[in-house]
Amino acid sequence: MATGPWRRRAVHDLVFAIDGSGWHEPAMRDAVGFRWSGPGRFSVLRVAAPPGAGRGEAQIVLDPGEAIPDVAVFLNGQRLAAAPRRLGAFGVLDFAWDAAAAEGAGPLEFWFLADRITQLPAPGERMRGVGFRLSTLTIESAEDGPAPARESAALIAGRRFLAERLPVAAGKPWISFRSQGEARLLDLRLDGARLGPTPQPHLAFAIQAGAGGAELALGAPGGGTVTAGLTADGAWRPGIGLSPRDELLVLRLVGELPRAFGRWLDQAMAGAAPDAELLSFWRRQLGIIARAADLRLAALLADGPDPYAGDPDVPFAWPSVST
Amino acid sequence: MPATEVALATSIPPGMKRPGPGGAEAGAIWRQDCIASWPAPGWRILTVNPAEESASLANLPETIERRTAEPGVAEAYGRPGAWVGDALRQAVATGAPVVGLVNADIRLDLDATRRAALAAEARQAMLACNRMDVQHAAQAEGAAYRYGYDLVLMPAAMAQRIDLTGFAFGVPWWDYWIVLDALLRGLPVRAVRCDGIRHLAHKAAWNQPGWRRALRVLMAHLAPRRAALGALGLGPVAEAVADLLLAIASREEEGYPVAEMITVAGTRFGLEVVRLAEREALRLD
Repeated sequence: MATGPWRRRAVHDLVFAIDGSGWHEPAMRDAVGFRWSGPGRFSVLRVAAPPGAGRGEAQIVLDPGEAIPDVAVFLNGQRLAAAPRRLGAFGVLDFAWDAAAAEGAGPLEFWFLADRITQLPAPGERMRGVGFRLSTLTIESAEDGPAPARESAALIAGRRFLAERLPVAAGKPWISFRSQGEARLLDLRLDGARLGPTPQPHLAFAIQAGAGGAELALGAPGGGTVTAGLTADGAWRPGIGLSPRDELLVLRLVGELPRAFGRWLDQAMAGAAPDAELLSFWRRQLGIIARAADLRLAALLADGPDPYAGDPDVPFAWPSVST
Repeated sequence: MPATEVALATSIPPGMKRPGPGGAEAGAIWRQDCIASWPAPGWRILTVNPAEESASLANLPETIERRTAEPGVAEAYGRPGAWVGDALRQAVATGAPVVGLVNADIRLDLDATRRAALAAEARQAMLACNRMDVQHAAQAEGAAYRYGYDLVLMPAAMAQRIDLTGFAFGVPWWDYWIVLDALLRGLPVRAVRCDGIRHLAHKAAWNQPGWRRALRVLMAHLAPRRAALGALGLGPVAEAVADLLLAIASREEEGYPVAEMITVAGTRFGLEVVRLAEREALRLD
C-alpha cells in the first residue's frame, strides 16, 4: 500500500463503457478519448469509489482558445464547489467532498449540469445537442483508506442473507414532483417491483419532505397503505400494521430509492432542461430517507425479532387497514 | 556519495528540436535541461548510443555515463539509435536495486522526497510514469498525458525478466509492451502520475506506418503468450481486439482496409493497456 506522498487514484476513462446517462458515444481526437455530454444539459456518471471524503478531477477536452465550459457538479445530489483551471488542451474541474456526501451504499453518483447546449453535427449524422467533452473522471481518497476489513465472511453471509431472506426489487421508476404550500411532494411509481416472494406490478410512494422531516406512504392498487416517516433529526418513525418480516422488506425497498431515482434520471433527463435545484433536493432527501431506513433495518436485524423465524416464501401482506 | 539506488538508462540524441514560445527553437536548451535534471545522489544515469553518435556526445557532463549500443537499430528503423532492451540490461549491470528507462526529452523536476518515494515504491513494483506536458520550459502546470509512460522504474530482478527485444527508443509501443509484459508475467505494475515528470509538448514524432510496424513487434511478443492475456480479465472486446491484431498486424499487404483496421484496433488495444495499468493508479504529490 502506498503511503507518504502517494495517493491512490481511480481513473474512469469515458472511452470505455460507463454507468450513467446523458453522454454521446465515445470519440477520439489527437489520441485523447472523450464523450460529449448531451443531448440535454444533465449528465450522470456513477463510479465505484472508496468510502469517505475524497476529491475528484474532471478532465475536459477543449478546442484552442475555447473557454472552460460552465459545468455544475453534484455528488449524490449535493452541489460541489468546482474550481476550473486550464491545462493546455484541457480544462480541469477540481472538486472535493466530505464523508457525509459520499455516505450510502453503492457507487458515487455524479451529476454534471452544463450551462448551455450547442447544436453540432455528429460525424456522418444529423445535428445533435452537445455540452462539453469529458475525457476522464479521476477520484482520490482525501485520506488514507481504511485497513482491509477482517469481517469478510460476515459481510458475505450478511449479503447472502439479505438476498435470500429479504429480497426486494424496485422495478422501473416513474417520478413526478409536486408542491403543497411550503411542502414538497414526490410521487414515485414503481412498475414491476418485488417485495420478498411477492411481485408488485404497481407500487406507489408518496413522499412529502420538508424541514420537519418526511412522511412516506407506500401502497399498491387493491392492497393497503403503509405509512412511515422521518423525524426532524432524521430518525425513522415506523408505521404499524406490517408483520416483522414485511417491515424489513419495506425498509429494504426504501433503501433502494436513491438508486431508483438514479435510474429514472437516466431515462427522463435525456435532452431535458432539468431543474437542478429540485433534483438535488430530492436526491439528497432520498439519500437521507434511505440511510434512516438502513439504520432501522440494522437495528431490527440486531435486536428485533429473530430474522430467521418464519417462512421466507410467505407472501408479502399489506395491512388490511390503512395505518 | 551514497551507494547507487537507481540506475536510469536513456539514449540522448545528438540534437533535439522543440518549439518554444513565439516559435523560437527551444530544443537545445530543453535537451540540456533534461540532461541536467536526471542525476542526483544515489541515481546513476547511463546513455546508450550507437558508435556513430559518440563524437556528438563528447560534451555531456561527467554525471552521464556513456555506453555503446548494440547494433541493428539503423537497419531495423532507418535511423541510428539504441535498443530499449539493451539500455535496460546496461542499467541492470550496474547492480543497482532499482533500474529504469527514461525518454531523453523528459525533465525530472523531482526533489529528494519524491525521488526517495519513487525509489522505495519501485523496489516493490514497476512504476509506469505518465508525463506532464508543458508548452514552455517555465510553465508550472500542464496536462498529464495518460497514454504513454516516459519514465519506467522497477526492481532490477523484475527487469531481468522483461523481454524488450525489437523495441528501440523513439519508436512507439515499447512503453506499452513493458507494462503488458510485466502484467502477463503476474508482476505488479502501477501507473503513476507525478507533475515533476515534464515534457515539452511537440507534434508526434512517429508516423502511422512506423506506429503499425512497432505494433507488429508487440504482437509478435504477444502471440505465444495469448493465453496469459485471458487471465488478466480484460473482457471480451479487448480479447477480440487482441485476436484481430494477432491475425492481421503482419498482413498489411493484403489490401484494403487492413491498415485502417490495424490502426483502429491498435488504438483500442493501447487504451486497454492503459486501463490495465491504471487498475493500480497512484499520484505522487
